[in-house]
Amino acid sequence: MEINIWQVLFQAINFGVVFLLLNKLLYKPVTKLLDDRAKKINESMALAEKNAKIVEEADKLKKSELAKARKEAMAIIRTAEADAKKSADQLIEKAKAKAKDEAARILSNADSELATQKKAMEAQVVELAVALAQKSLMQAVTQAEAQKITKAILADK
Amino acid sequence: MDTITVISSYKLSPSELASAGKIALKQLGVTGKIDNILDKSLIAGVKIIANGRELDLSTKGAIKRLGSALT
Repeated sequence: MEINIWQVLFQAINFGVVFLLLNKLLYKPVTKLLDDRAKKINESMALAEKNAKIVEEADKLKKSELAKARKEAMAIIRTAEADAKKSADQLIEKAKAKAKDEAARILSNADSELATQKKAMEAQVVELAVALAQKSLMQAVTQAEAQKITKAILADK
Repeated sequence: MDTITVISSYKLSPSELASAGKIALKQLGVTGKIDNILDKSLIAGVKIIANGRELDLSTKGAIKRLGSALT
């Protein structure tokens, strides 16, 4: 087998031409396309990461604001409850004091009325007893006894 | 000379009237003619009235005073 130098040369030149052509027409555009695509993907990923970060921050902010709002709402509710309880307690105390005063007043009036009635009744009882005693004595004491008593009184004075 | 009114439940004897006159002098400081008026409601004892003043020595008066003391 004999090596044809011209053929080898021709093949080399041919390879070089094909290589240059392929390099110019295929490899470079494909490589550029791939690079562009990779670049785009990287940019998209970076953007997605950035968006994810923004979403995460927004979520954190949302949670934080929600917690803050919940805390404020709870504080408002607690304050409102405390105020309501205080008002209710005050109302109850006022009502109790009023009821106590009213009861004391009614009791005092009743006592006073009772004392007046008792006094009037006692006076009536005494009046009745006096009238009864007079009547009984008038019937019971005879003329002779009356004379005896009168004599004793006159003698005593 | 004042008039002494002696009220009693029966007609007093002269000696009783004299006793009433002594009481009038002693207690009321009055002397004079003695009038005897009857009032059965006095029960026993006498009531002596002279110079607008009254000395009640009757049973009725005693009961009244007792009643007043009780009220």
